[in-house]
Amino acid sequence: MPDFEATCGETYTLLPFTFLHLSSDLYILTNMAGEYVVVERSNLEDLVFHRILQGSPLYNEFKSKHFLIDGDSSVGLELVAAKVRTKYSYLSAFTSLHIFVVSLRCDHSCPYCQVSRQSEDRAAFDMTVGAAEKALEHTFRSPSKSIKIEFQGGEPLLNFELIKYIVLRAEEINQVEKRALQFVIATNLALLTDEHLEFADAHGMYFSTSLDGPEDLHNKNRPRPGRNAHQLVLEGIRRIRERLGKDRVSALMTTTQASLTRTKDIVDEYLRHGFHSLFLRSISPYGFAVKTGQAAAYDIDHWLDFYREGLSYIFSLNKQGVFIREEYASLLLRKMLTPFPTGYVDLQSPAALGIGVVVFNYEGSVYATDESRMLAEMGDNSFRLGNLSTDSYEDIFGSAKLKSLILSTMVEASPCCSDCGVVAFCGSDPLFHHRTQGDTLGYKPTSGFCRKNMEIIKHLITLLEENGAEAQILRSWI
Amino acid sequence: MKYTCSDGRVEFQIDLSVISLFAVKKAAHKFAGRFSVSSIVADEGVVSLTLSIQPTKGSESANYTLTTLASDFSRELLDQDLREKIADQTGPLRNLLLAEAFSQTSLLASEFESADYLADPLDLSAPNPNSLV
Repeated sequence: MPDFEATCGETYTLLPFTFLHLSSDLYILTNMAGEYVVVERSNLEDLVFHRILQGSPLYNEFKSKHFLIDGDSSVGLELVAAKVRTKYSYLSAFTSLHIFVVSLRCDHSCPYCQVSRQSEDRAAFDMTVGAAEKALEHTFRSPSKSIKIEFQGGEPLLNFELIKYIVLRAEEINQVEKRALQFVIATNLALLTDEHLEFADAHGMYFSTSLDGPEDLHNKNRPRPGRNAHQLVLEGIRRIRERLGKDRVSALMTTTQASLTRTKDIVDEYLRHGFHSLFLRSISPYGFAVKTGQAAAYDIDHWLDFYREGLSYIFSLNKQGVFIREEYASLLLRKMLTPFPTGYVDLQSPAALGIGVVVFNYEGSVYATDESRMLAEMGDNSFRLGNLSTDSYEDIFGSAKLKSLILSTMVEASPCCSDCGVVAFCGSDPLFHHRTQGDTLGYKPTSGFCRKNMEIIKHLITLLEENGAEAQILRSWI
Repeated sequence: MKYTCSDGRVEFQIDLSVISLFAVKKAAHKFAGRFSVSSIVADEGVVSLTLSIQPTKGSESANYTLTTLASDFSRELLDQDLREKIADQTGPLRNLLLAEAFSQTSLLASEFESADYLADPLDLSAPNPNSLV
């Protein structure tokens, strides 16, 4: 009956959307609200030339997802605008993640490390109390209701006294500020002591560590005296879980040349040690990763093979009843299937430079992102925003330099991206493009970042459209 | 539109009454990772476009034949043409949606929303000496 009563949809108005060829005759259509639909090219042309039959299933799908409006949907524009506003809502919170690099000293010598390695003896590479005070002052100038302070290094536990100082001062300041305050220590756990655990327990702190895979792979990636990095990190994870709880420690892996043929081993290692999420990351082209050749060791196609293999294996495990989630896919799915932002800096437009994350380095320099300070270690200060000892909060966060950098990361207005069919799910990585192409906006036809995201998003959409077991698994991850 | 392939190059003849020069350029730009534009000449309503296959470091180009790339590029030309038609229809609405989306956000701290503009509590009228503009 609905088809019999359908009429030619001449009265509908097209709403803005972009599209991208998916495979064979299929196209992905996405709009500003972040809704998407997959149709054949003939349907796409019918939509544009107003040939969709009003009341048909295809018409209703287009209408419900805001690709068209008609006389019966007078609130369509307001709904789309509300969804756009929700997607960008994180911007009003401004900076929420504040990274304190409390020491550049480290006991490991990881070949892909993006900061200079210093021995444990060189106290000259520790942040001072004065710098920490200034950094805290800047931190609480942010209007964000949630403040996360993450301690990084080097190995931050080597300057634990300053970590304690910062935590206690932040909590003291927060008695007036009343923000949702969270502390994280990013550490290799090799130097973890009971004192650290006791303090972390008392102040609700979290730990973030690195687990690159099985023992041989992890130790190869992370050499240290004693060659026992893997043993120490597992011991640290066990102790944190025992003392603080299972969810107080998370792990990240970094992909190196040695990792590319060990996908299943890496996934199994995470499961073996009680982790049910895994972030299959690519290597960043900064710091020691460049000096030691790791950054050039594989191209994006090899990494994509690694990623697809890992994802496929994770699916097979889920089908066997073993829950494990791939985090990058989860972030993309959140963007694709919900109206909410993710908070992941590489999937934001404008980029999170300063406005989502800021880094206070051990010597007082302020950087736009974590990778910025790593770039600076290579002599490139393009993303350095200022210094705690000389620049006020307004000088740093209101600077023309920061505004110019942020402006150049708006993919919605950049060549290739502005009419890309998956721009709503993507983001910008200005440091990656600056490093690999000499341009913060990036030249997308040859961009590894673009290719990576494009292939993964198309792969996920294909799986969702096939609506098989993999689609159900993906939907369970958000 | 027609094309011929030979010696690592594809030559297109595109009728500009069917596909605009702007769409041709956008398609060529998008494919710059796989092709380089050897020549582009517009004459009497027809643009002659010569694309040379791009040697790349990765394995991507090795998986494509010249014919496949030419076919993909032909499709992209038609896609760019379609995008122009969408932009013609929806351009003003896009601006309206963005304006509506951000019209209800405050650019100032909420406590200054009702401040007297003559008082200018945030000193907005003073020029910023650090501005690049």
